[in-house]
Amino acid sequence: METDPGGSDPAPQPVAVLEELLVSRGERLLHAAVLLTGSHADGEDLLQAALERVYKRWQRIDGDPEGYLRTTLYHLAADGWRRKGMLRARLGLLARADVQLDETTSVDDRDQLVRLLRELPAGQRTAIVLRYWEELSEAESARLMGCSVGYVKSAASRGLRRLRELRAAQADSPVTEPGRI
Amino acid sequence: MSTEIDYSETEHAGFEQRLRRELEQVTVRVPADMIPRAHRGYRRRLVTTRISAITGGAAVIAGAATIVAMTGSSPGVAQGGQRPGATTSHATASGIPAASTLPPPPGDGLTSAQAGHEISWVRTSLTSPAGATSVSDTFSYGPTSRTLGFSEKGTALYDEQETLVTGAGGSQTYATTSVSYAGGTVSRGTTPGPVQHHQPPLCPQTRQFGLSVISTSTLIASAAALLACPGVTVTRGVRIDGVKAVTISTVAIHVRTTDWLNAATDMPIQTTIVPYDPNLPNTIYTTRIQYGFLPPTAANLRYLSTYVPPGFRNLPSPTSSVPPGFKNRSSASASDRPR
Repeated sequence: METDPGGSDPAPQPVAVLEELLVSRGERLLHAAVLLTGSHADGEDLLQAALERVYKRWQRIDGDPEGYLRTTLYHLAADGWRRKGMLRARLGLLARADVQLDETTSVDDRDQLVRLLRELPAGQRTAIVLRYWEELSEAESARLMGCSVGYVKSAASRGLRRLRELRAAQADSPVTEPGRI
Repeated sequence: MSTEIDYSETEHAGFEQRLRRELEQVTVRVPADMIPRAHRGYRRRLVTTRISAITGGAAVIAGAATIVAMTGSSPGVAQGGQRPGATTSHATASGIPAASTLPPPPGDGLTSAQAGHEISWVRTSLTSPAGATSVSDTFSYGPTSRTLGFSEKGTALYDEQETLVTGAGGSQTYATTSVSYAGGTVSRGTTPGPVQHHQPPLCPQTRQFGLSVISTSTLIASAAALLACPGVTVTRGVRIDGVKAVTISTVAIHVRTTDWLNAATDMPIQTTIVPYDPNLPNTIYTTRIQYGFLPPTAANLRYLSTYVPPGFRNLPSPTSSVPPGFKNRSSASASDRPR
């Protein structure tokens, strides 16, 4: 790569860094996004929104881009991600409803608890994912969510309780065909 | 010592273990075009004050964000070509373009310097593999830009305006207004202003990453240089939207990007980004970007104002833009680069 006339090396392009990041850590990041939203389509939207923010702030990032991307992802999720509908429309993903889901996107009975996550408020859902999937401490979860440790404790506790109630209610209901996320 | 088992604790632990197991079991596949899509989303937002700044045209407004209204059309602007199906651009009272209007492409008389005195209108159409197309329009003039998003049925989805405000001491922030039609809400706030950053050399970028990483403002300012970059394909003697044009094209990051430029002035007319990898499943979206320029008449300046429908409720300002624990660099320096 050519260097600029000033003699200093050109800045690493966000495209190259993020492409490499997605190759090595993309599945883990998308997995988090799917859990945070309760659906594969919404999870892609959420990760896409986080990536756009990283692009926008690239010159201001002074740390690990993956860390920044993860933090942005969780911040968006904890905020309830108000722009969900706008982003999907912006990317034309409203058409996704017409797309036939293949086996890699369908979720069967084993993942009912994951689907129930979608019933939780955004803050509780995010706290559950951070504590029980990322297995972070309360302090680390609070830092990623941008909130207090007390909020993480209560959100995780309320979220778990609600999940158990939903699961119990489901167990009492007639068996339904496995849905798809 | 009591040997009674605490069933609730056991149940609780069992539930948590099951939750951990199930959370781990979800399978995902990362789409191949996430980065190009993110860049396109970012690129749309780059059509802002930089167009005017680079072409050296419009005034920078300090203090409160107001839009200077001008009457009449800009002198010396020749009539451009006509896009098929285009009608005269008339901003409605809401500043939302009618579905039948299209950005008027730059004619032979509009140079990049003159374009700085015009309102730029960039329409991005995203078509899914299933054939559904959604559209966004971005208008920019001086320190203000506004982006509108529409569903494939043509209904408005969002309306966002951003105005660069220069305060005392030269500090800059963006004043933002965001309207969500889905939520029936409007939120207003401020975000940090732009920072100066090192512009990497043009041709190595195109050779490595193709034209899809080139922003609109760079396209306007550096089209002549882009035409000379190694690794791009240049085709002359074509016509588009009634205008004689030249195309530059690259293939990179799974997409072929083609820019149509006015042959007389090198001003951008259209960009297309289409999937280009037969080995990938057809999940990549097709993008078409149409560039247009409007005289800053009082009527056209309405395109720059966000419209808040009656009854929409106000939301609190968005949360802080920089996650905690990350340094917020504000100084302009060539050494300010991500590690």
